[in-house]
This record gives sequence, structure tokens and C-alpha cells, in this order.
Amino acid sequence: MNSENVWRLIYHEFKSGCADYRLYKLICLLLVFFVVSLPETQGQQNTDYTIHANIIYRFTKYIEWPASKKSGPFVIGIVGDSPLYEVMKIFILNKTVGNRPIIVKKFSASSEVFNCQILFISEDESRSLKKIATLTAGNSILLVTESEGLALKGSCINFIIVDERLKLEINKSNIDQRSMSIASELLQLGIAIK
Amino acid sequence: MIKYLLHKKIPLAFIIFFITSNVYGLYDTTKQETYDDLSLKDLLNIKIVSVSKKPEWLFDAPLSASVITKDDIRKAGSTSIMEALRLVPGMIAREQNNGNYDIHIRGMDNVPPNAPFDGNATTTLVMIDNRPIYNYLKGGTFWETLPVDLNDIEKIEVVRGPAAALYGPNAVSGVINIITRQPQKEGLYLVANAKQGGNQSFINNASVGYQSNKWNMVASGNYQHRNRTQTSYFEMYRNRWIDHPAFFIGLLGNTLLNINEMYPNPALAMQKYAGNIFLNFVPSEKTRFNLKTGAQHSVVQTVSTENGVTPFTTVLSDSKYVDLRAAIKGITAQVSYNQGTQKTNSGAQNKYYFCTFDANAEYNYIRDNFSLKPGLSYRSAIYDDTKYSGISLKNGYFNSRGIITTLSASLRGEYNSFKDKLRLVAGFSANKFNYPDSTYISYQLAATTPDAPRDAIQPNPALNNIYSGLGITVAVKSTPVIFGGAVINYLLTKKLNGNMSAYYYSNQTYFHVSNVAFHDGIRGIEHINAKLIMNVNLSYEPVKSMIVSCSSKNILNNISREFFKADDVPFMLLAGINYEF
Repeated sequence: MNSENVWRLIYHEFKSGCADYRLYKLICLLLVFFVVSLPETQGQQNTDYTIHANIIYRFTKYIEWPASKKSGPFVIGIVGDSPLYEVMKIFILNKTVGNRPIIVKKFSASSEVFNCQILFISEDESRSLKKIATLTAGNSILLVTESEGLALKGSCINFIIVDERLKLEINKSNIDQRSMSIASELLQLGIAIK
Repeated sequence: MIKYLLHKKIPLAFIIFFITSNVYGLYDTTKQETYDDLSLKDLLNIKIVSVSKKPEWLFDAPLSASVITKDDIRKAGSTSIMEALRLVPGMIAREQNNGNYDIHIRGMDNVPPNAPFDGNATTTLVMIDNRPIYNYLKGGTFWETLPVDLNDIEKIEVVRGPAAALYGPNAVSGVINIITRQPQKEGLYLVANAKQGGNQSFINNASVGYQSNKWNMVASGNYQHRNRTQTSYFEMYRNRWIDHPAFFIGLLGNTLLNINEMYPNPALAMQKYAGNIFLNFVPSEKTRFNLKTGAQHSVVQTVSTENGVTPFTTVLSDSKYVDLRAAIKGITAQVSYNQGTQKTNSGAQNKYYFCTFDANAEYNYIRDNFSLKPGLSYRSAIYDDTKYSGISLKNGYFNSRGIITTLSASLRGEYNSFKDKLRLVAGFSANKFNYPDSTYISYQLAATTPDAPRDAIQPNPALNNIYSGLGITVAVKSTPVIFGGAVINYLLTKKLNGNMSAYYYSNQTYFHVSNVAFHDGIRGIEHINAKLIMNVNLSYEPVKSMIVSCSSKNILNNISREFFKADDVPFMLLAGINYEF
């Protein structure tokens, strides 16, 4: 009998003779239940918008709105059912723009009026961009989007993901047309779209 | 005595660690990191989990599905695609010997008791980028013949449960889709992995590529060598393990002397190498062309084919493939061709030639929340052993040339409402087979129906199922009642990552056809003990893009067999280097 077989024999002996083995099995069972669901819940959390929220908030430091938009609360509007809404609401707690409070507000894509300084259009409402851009043309609203190619379709700043990192596509002429001005520091960090 | 204690205390300690750490993990994720101190420039440099886009692959259906990514696999220290599947919930993966696994989704496939090993064929559809890798002769997958390895993989998606209406007739118990990786940034692309460990295990794979504005090209190669943990074979007739036998006795009491021919290398578990070239051209956002081609060679000893003597057989496979996929606006079309030879048992006469051809085209019509996908597909598979077997002797595997063809028309509809919170998918498909048999119910008909093997060994799972059509309910004990896994990942420091993965299955009893042959209640039956397998992988990133790792497989050293009279699976240590540029 080689040592391996002795090992196996001891193991069987242990298994049949030891009361703790039941406990061991029970714990194994618990463990399996515990965990089988784990990878799946992880899979669902693939939309972390914290960085988006942070960057959108930083825009307020690099973009200059005209005097008419400089009174009352600073409104960040969100179009579409994006997780950004919840994330942004938490993010702006204890934060202000200058000394103005910030409000995060949801807008419907079919809305006629977008009373805000920054308007984020989520990916699933991307096709509404054209309509919203025409409707708000000339208004000092910074349109922010998150789908490829939208910087050419009326958006001011477009988030894209390159190499698993967020990048900004900035269309300066769209920002100028809306009577806002953008700091060169921000322009340098983004990808200029003409 | 010491081993007693070891056996008792270590698992308990680990489990307690596990549960407590898990709770800790949950708290940890609820703490919001807001990155307030970072500059905008730094913010734009943080790696983010990509916000999900509308998938262009088929797996957008509300089925029970899971995904594992290349990072999950690397962190867990998995050494192969097969091993990585243990990380997916709902998979039963039992290691037959070093690196060869028996893989099932949930256990819902046709594994009737008292069947020959050919009946182990699973009815799970395995695809690489939607190209079926399916052996129509056996109704299953020879995993070692996959031409790709971990360096080629972006993610693996698994759909559990019947999905034939959505993915075609072979998706009876589920679908495993392996999605290959593409360069993400312009310029040079390099991925290299090297791993070395116990039992002469060498796992090396690498890809080099170049990405330009609208196209990219990647060449990849992989090599694996693994030895068994033992050199003995289990002979069913004498019901014992024999090391370096002078002869074997078959099920019928016949003596076999051609040991060297049957088992030319008793120590070998797996040796395989393969190469691929991937070419992608994306002229515009809505148009893309992907061309893939490659070749593969493998020798393994697995429990996959019945030889009536011992569970293991030597399987030798050579194959090559071409796969072309084009997407133009809403239309996608894919044509693939796979051809090769396989020898699944001893003797030159047991070799056969095969070629499979798949073509399909689909149109995706999307209007608001509704999408409709009409599609057409054609599939043909030829299996031929007339070149290798003695025609007059009829001593080959099936002594014939058989062809199966399937022509299908399908229509899939999807309706999304409330921003994807409600999603309805309907699939309809009409399949015309060239070999219909009204006595088979459709999934069996779809699984394997080459007419070739009729008069020889019959690898059709429906026929291997000796209870088929008798109206008898049979309790299948060969699959575990409880099984599953867990992964905990810790970023110990910025550069050091610790990963522990566990896999557990409960007791099961395998009944082999020799149980019926001998009918003595001993031979052909094996009780497989419950087993907990714990793996620990530490990876350290000394310089950017390079990771050195040390993985311990089965740290509890639960050596017990995982499959009927296959090899012991003990503790194994591997060291590896991973480089990505």
C-alpha cells in the first residue's frame, strides 16, 4: 500500500467517523449558496458613473456661462434613465458652484424647456440629441453626451471610452455658439472636434 | 493524526475567513469613492469598468446568463479555458487528469446511467465568436481542439438552459460563447503569458498585433504540455489500477497486447499547440469585417470515447479553420469552415476525417423598443473514415461517410420596455434536417444524427441511452446535487493582488456500461466523493504591464478523483509571467 492509499483510507475513516463532518458539509452548503449568486450581482454593477459625475462637476470650473445664467441655483439636467442621476445627486452633496447651490434634475426627452446650465443626455436617449440641440440652440446650456460621434451632431462635450478610460471630445464651436467660453486647460485635456 | 487535523481545521478556517471577508467586501463597495482630490487630468486616466453598450452579439436575451472576463480569469490564475469555466455559476467541471475536464452546464445533458463514455457527450453548444465548435459525430466538444487560448480571450459568456430557438439546434443544455480579444489602442499590441508548474505543466501563449485607424491584425499562438499525476490505468475487467501493464483484458474477456499503440505515452495528459491570425477591418461605425483563420494539433488522454478496456483513451486531433464575418448596417453574415482529422482510440483504422461548414445571415430591424431578426442558416458536417478503416474488414470507428445538413430559417423578436427593465424575447426556428427520424424528439435529433455510424459503434446519445423510449424514469446520480464556486479578490497593495477561488460539488455516483456487462454491483460503479477545491493566486506587478504570479491549485490537497476511474487531482503549484502592451 503506498502512502497515497493510506492517506485516502485515513480520509474515509475520518469522514465516516467524525461528527464534525456534518457541520463541515453544512458549511460547504452555505458557502455554495452564499456565493453562486455573487458573480452575477457583480456583473450588473458595470455602470459606475462616479467619474462621470466628478468630471461634469469640474466643468463648472472651466466653463464660463453668461451673466444671465449666473443667478439662482446651478441646475444639472439629465435626460434619460441613467444611473448618473442617483450618483450625481450624492456627489453634489456639500458642493456648490461659486456660492450657488446645485440641483440635479431629470428632464424628459420630449420636454419643451430645459431650464439648466448643464444637460447630460444619456446613451439611450442619444437619438433625441438633434431635437434637443435645435430646441436649445443659442441657449447657454452645455450639452454633454456619451455616445460615439455625437460631438459632431450638436453635443458640446462627449464622453467616450478609449482603452478603458474616459476621454472628452470637445466641440468648441458648439460651445461658442451657445455664448459660453471654455478654458484652454480643459480644451487641452480633451480631443478637439471640429 | 496530523493529516486528520489538517483536513478538519483548514477547510473550516478558510470558510470562516471566506464568509467574514465576504461581508467585509460588501461594506467596502457601499463606501463611495468620489475622487475629489484628483485633478481632472488624473480623473481621465482612471481605468473604468466600461459602461455597457448595446451588445452586438446574440447574448442580449433575458436568459440565465453569466460572463467572465479576461481580468477575472487572470486574477484567478486559471491556466486554461476549461479551468476558467469553473468560475462561471452553473457549471459542472470535473478534472479528469491534469488539464482535461469533463464540462457540463448544470447537468441537464444526456448522461444516462450505464452508458458507454461516448454518452458523456454534452449537448452544450460551444462557440468561438459565434462559430460553432461542435463535434456532430459525438454531439459534444473536444475542448483540447479549441484553437484559441487565454491570450486570445476577451470574455466568455454562458447561457444556462435550453436555448435552441435562439441559438440553433445544438444549444440544448446551454451555450458557451468564447469572445476573442481585439487591440484597444492604436499601434503595437502584445500579450504574452508563460506558466510553469508541477507535473511538467508548461502553458505558454502569446499574441502580437497592430492596430491602425480602421484595421487591426493579430497573430497568436499557444502551447500546452501537461503530464498526468500517475502513469497507471484502471482496467475495468480486473477492476484494478495497473501501472505499465503487459496486457489488458477487455470487457468481453479478450486480451489486448497493443498497449504501446493504445497508450504511446502513459505519462502524458495533454500536449497541444495552435496558431491563429485575426484580421479586422472597420471602415465605418456600422460596417465591419472580421476574418479569422488558424490551425491546431493536440494529443490528450481523456475519458471521452469508449474502448471497453479502460476509461482513458488517447485522442489525437488536427484541424484548421476559416471564419469570415461581415456586418453591414443591420445585416450580419458569417461563413465558417472547419476541417481536420481525429483519432479517438487506438489503431490507425480508428481515424476519421471531418469537415463542417456553417453559413448564416441575419438582418436586425430595430424600431423604437422593438427589434426583429429574421435569419437563414445552413450547416453541413461530413464525417468520413473510409480512407482509414479497412472497408472489407469493417474494423473502423463507423466504416462509412456520413453527411448531415441542416437548413434553418429563424425569426427572433425582442421587445424592450421601461428602459430595458422589461424585455421579451421570442425565438422561432424551423430546422430541416437531412436525416429526420420521427421517433426522436427534436433535441436529440438535433444533437447528433450522422447516418454513418448506424452499423458500427453508435455514438448517438439517444441510442446510448438504454432507457430511451421505454417510459421509465431514471434517477441520474452521476451529476452532483450541489455544486458551485466562489471567488474573492483582494487588492492587497496597489501592486499585489490576492485571489482565492473555491469550487465545490457534492457526492455523486457514476454508472458505466460495464456495470450492466458484469452485473456484480462492483465493477462499473464509482462513488465520487464530495470535494472542495480551493485555489489561491497571488499576482504582483513589479513594473507597468508586467505581472508575475504564483498560483496554488487545490491548496487543501483533496486528491480524490473527480471522474469515474480517472486520475487523482492533487495540489499543484504554478508560477507565471504575464505581459501586456
